[in-house]
Amino acid sequence: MKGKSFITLGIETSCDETAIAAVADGRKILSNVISTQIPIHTKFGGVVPEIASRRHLENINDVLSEALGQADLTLDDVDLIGVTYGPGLIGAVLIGVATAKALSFAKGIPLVGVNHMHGHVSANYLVYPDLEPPFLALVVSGGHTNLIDVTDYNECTVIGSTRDDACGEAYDKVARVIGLGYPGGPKIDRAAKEGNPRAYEFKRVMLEKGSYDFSFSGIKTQVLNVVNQQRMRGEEVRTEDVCASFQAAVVDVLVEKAMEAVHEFGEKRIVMAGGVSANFGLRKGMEDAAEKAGIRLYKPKPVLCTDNGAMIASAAYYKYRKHGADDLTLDAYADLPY
Amino acid sequence: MFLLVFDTTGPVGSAALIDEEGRVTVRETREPMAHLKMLMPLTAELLRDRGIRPDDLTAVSAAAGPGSYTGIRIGVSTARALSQALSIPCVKVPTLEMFRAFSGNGRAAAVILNARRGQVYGAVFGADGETVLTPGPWMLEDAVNAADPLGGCVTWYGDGIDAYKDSPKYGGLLEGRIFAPESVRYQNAGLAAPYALREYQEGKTLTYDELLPEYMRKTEAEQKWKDGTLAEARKRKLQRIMGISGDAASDAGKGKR
Repeated sequence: MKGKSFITLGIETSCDETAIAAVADGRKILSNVISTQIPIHTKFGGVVPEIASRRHLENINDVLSEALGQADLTLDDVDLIGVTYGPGLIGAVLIGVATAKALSFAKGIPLVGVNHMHGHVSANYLVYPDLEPPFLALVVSGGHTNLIDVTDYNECTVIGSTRDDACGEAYDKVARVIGLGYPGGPKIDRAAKEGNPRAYEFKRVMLEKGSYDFSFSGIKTQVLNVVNQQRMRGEEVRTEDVCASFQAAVVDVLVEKAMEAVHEFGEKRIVMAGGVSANFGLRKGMEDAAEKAGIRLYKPKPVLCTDNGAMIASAAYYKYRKHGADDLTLDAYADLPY
Repeated sequence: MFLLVFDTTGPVGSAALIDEEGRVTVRETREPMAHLKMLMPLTAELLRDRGIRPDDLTAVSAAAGPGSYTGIRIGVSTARALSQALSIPCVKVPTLEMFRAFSGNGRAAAVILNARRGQVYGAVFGADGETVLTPGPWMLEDAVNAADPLGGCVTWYGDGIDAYKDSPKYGGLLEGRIFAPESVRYQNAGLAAPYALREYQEGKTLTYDELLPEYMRKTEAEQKWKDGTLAEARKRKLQRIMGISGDAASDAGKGKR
């Protein structure tokens, strides 16, 4: 406890960010330290799991010191430790879990394992003090594309998923093919702002009627074919136009499916979560559609969309309140269902 | 004085407690893939049985490798976090070095940890405890060549035995050797503890930031970068992503530059 606040430490190492945050009462960010490895992985064209694992180990203790220092806390003030225990790169996840377990054991602090995807949803609780479940959420990240019915804190039913590539994955692959490189999402988003979204007519794959599932592999192949054909004909390929048209197609699909779900479920609000929610095009598309439909849109600040410790702390706080602590046998998992 | 020692670099995951008189207690798990899950519970048991609390620990030590990369990281990151939380120093144990304890008094010890494809992390310690083959990444053949001149007094240790003894390609190299029984064949915290205690008593302690793994190899990606083969590998990956012919992919690659 610090004053009258319940302090949760959130630890996140599931991919390429070593992140630790301190959060008061599950809602108020006291510190949110993110040590990104993006520059390290750039020359390899994507995240190299073994390198990510090695870096997490070297970084995590300093990130912890900084997260405590910025919040003016010591470990003795911490009431709860939350840690991502999956899904993610297993070698990366386990650095966070091993560290969290050791801290918990050393200081007698309760420990809670958090599903990384629940963390993404919980990022919204840090921005909107009034937001409470149940609600619908569109979760879009490097590994996930889902429409989910959030029935309670850390509890949800998946109503739609990608049948092939995740949305972020499609961004990364397209970025690789058109020569923008890693990380694909932000680079395409930036280039798209300068391009014409109607320069190319890329597929909007809606799948069968009534389905909330997604498919992004077709558009990825289409982008490559178009680019290659133009190159073979000796025509100039305007990267910005490719990006704008690709992004427009992806955003159309995501927004339309999300709005369909809102109507079907009779909801008055929709929540965005996951790394791709930081995407300007997607945020704009959702804003416009929500306004038109007269529903309220919740979206975390971009820094809370990408992987961070604060969202893990918030999810841990609510999980602990409902289910209590995990014991020291907590393990790490590459795959973990919602 | 209590020194806590971890070894999660091999098939056995273990924690040991050693006091200033060298009395050692050990807890271990042989369950595969359970090192992360079990390391803290085993440690909690170990301390409970000795009637001490985490606060009573004087220093924390981990086998730092070589060995399983993932295994190394479990032990080392656990030790680093304990050191940070309890404000106690760390002691590093090089995995191969702990096997030196099996040499001396006329017995030699050869250690081979499996590094796949005929490779080992290996060392050979002679009959007086001296270094015959420096701990490092070697071919299995190098370890055999180093041990052979020592004659029949050599006992072999490590999971390289299990990996290679029945292999059609490499098994011949290990034929007729004396293998340590499985109960003492592998690295473990009980074996690391006396080494760690000696280091501690000689003042060779580290801060948690200084306790780093000894992988003994660069990652494959970094090795390819160094060799200049990374661009080739990335081009192949691009082809795989798109499921297209090599020509189209190299065109796309050209566009990149």
